Parts: sequence; C-alpha cells; structure tokens
Amino acid sequence: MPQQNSHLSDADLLSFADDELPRRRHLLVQNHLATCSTCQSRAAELDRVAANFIQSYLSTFDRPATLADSTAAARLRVRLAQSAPPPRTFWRWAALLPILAGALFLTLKTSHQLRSSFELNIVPNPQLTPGETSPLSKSQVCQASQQQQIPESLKQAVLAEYGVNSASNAAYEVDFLITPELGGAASIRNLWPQPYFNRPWNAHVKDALEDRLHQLVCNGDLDLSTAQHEIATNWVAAYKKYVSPNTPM
Amino acid sequence: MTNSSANAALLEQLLSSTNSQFTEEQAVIGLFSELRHPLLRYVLTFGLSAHDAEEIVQEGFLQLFKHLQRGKSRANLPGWIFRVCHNLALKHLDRARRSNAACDGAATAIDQSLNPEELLVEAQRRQKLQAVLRALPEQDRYCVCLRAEGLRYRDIADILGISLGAVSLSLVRSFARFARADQEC
Repeated sequence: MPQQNSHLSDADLLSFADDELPRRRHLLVQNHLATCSTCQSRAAELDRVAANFIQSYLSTFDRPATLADSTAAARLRVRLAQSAPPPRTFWRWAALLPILAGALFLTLKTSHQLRSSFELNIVPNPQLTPGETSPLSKSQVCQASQQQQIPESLKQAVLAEYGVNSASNAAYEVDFLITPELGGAASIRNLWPQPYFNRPWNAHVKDALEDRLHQLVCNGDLDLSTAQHEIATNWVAAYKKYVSPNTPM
Repeated sequence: MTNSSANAALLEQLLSSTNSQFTEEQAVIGLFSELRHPLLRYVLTFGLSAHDAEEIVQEGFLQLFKHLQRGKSRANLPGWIFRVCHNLALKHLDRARRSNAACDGAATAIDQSLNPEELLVEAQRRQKLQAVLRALPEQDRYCVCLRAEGLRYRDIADILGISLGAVSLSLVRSFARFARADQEC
C-alpha cells in the first residue's frame, strides 16, 4: 500500500494501467496518482514503453500467414470432421480412419481433377437446384430468424444427387441456394453441395452476399422476389452487383 | 486479446444450443477465426517456422474440439487455447532441439513492399526487439508476449503456472529492459 510520502512501484503502476489491481488497491493507487506528479510521469513513461513494445511486437510477428483465412478454416473443418467419433457399428474400422483421413487430405490438396469438380459446384446445377421458396412475406422474413437445420437424410440425398462420395463430403457444405433468411425452403431443389475449398467463390463469400441481400430487402431497398431470383439465377453475379464488383480475396 | 468478451458471448450463445455436435464445431471455427492470428504471432515468438506455427495452431483447435466433445469445462476458452498452443510449441521446440532441426525464426519475414530505407528501419526495429526477447529469461519472454496479445494476468499466470504477483514483476522487468534497449539506440 502506498504511503503518503512514498511513490508507487512500477508493478503497481503497470497493474493499475492494465486494470489488474484488486478494487481497494486500485482506488488507493488512483487517489495517489491524482496528487503525485512524480508517479504520473512514471506512469506515462511506462505506458509509452508498453505501447512501443506492443507496436514492435506486432510489426515483428504479425506476418502474412502461410494459408489464407478461408483455406485455414476449411482445413480445420475437414480435420474436425475427421476427428468426430465414428458411429458405434464402425468402431472396428476406427484404426483405418487416420489413414483414410490423410489420404483424403492429400487428395484434396493435390488432385487437379477433384479441384476441377469443386469449381464446377461454384454455382449449382440449375436442373437439380433451381431454387425453391417458402410462402413467406417480407415482414415475416425480416421479423423473425428463419434459420433452418437441414436433416442429415436430406444432406445425404443432396450429396448423392451431385455424385459427391462419402470420402469427400467433409469438404462441402450442403447449402441453401436461396437462404432461409430470404425465404428459401429446406427442399432438395434449393440445396447443393458448396465447396469450402474453392477460392475465391466459396460458402463464406456467399454468406456475405446473403447478409447483404437480407439487409437490402429489410431496409426496403430491394424487392424480396428480386433478391430470391437473383441469388437463385447466379449468386456470383449477384455478389458482384450487390456486395462488390471486385473479386473477393 | 481484442474482442475476447464478444467472443465469449458468441461462444456462450453457440454452445447453449440443443444440437451439441453442430454447436461445438461452430464454436471451434468461430474461435479459430478470431484467435488464429494472435496465436500464430505468439507461437512465432518461440522461433518456429510459419509452417510449424500453422500446424501447432490447427492442432490446438483440434484439441479444443475434443475437449468440448468430452464435455469438459467451457470457461475461458481463449485462455485455454493459448495454454494448449503454448505447450504444443514448447514440445515442438524440444523435439526440434533434440534433432538439431533448424528453426527459421521470425527474422526472415520482412515486408518486401517497403522501400530500402523503410526496410532498414524495419529490420533494425525487429532486430532490437528480438535481441531484447532473446536476452530475457524464458518466463519473462512468454509473459510479455502474452500480455502483448491482450491476455489478462490471471490467464498468463495459468498458462505459465506462476502467481499473479510474479506476472506483474516479470512484466516490469521486461519493459525495463526494453526501455534500456530503446535508450541505447
């Protein structure tokens, strides 16, 4: 505790600045600082040193990551899917899973053929996924959260329809073409397997478009049926029109 | 860690949903997008390569996923993931030392878009910081880098297994050394 005629320690000053002191001690330090110009100067000096350190630290270690954010997240998703516990009936195959997972990862990383098939799914096949809506009004779409879970059986049906085999399905998100936030239905005609890995046009980019269209519709700047039509027809073109004409990073 | 309270609120929301498998993955991915870069920076201070740092962070989040799946504590997950990555980096470093494998450290990465004068200033600034960090005892180095990432003293104390008072004194020592190095330049 600081005495009337003594000055605060650097540890007290730093902990005070970091808001790390217990309440009583915080008040004592605060009262002392209010009247002691020596400690005020020392506190300012410590602040300056700490700020300089952080600036140097960030400029030294904040270097561009080896993977883009979306690629790193996609890679983690695949690894999480691989590490999920298998169904009980498949326990005896458990020992093979790491090998299969490694093979899957290498295949995803290197196979030009598989990469091409990702690119084919940037936009869905209009024959299989023309888009389908629920009979919701604009006010219903905007007033309540329209998030919907896709039943596992429906996801599997969509993957099968697009010929995605079970070994590859962790690299895809079965996604709504017209999002429920814009009145899209949980129907096989409104779902397709969207690749996580594809750059730049992937599920994360489409999420940004969906948020933007929902905002425009609810602000009254865009008709709901127009938003539904544009996202169903070509969501990449809609992104360029409503979010940014530039290709996302 | 900036926005850690917002992260915590997001996680609370995600983890309270009824479909636990869904929410665990979402929570891990959500936290990954918030903390990947701070964790990469911190792990790089151990002198590891960018590739190894990325692997360590991925492995840390895999462990977080398993931790959540086992129904373990969901309190202060940002602090938890820093602790796990800290320990993974130490293990990696230990293995690398035993096999005499080279670590490329952080000294090689300088933004090549800078002009020659800026490159020189930047290189000097990095060299000075790295010299100070190298001269610090390991515990002080970890402490000051975790503080630079915005961790609270109690989280730093948990990660390093030291008291709150020791955290405070360690930071004072490190900043004093950094200030001296600043004056010498």
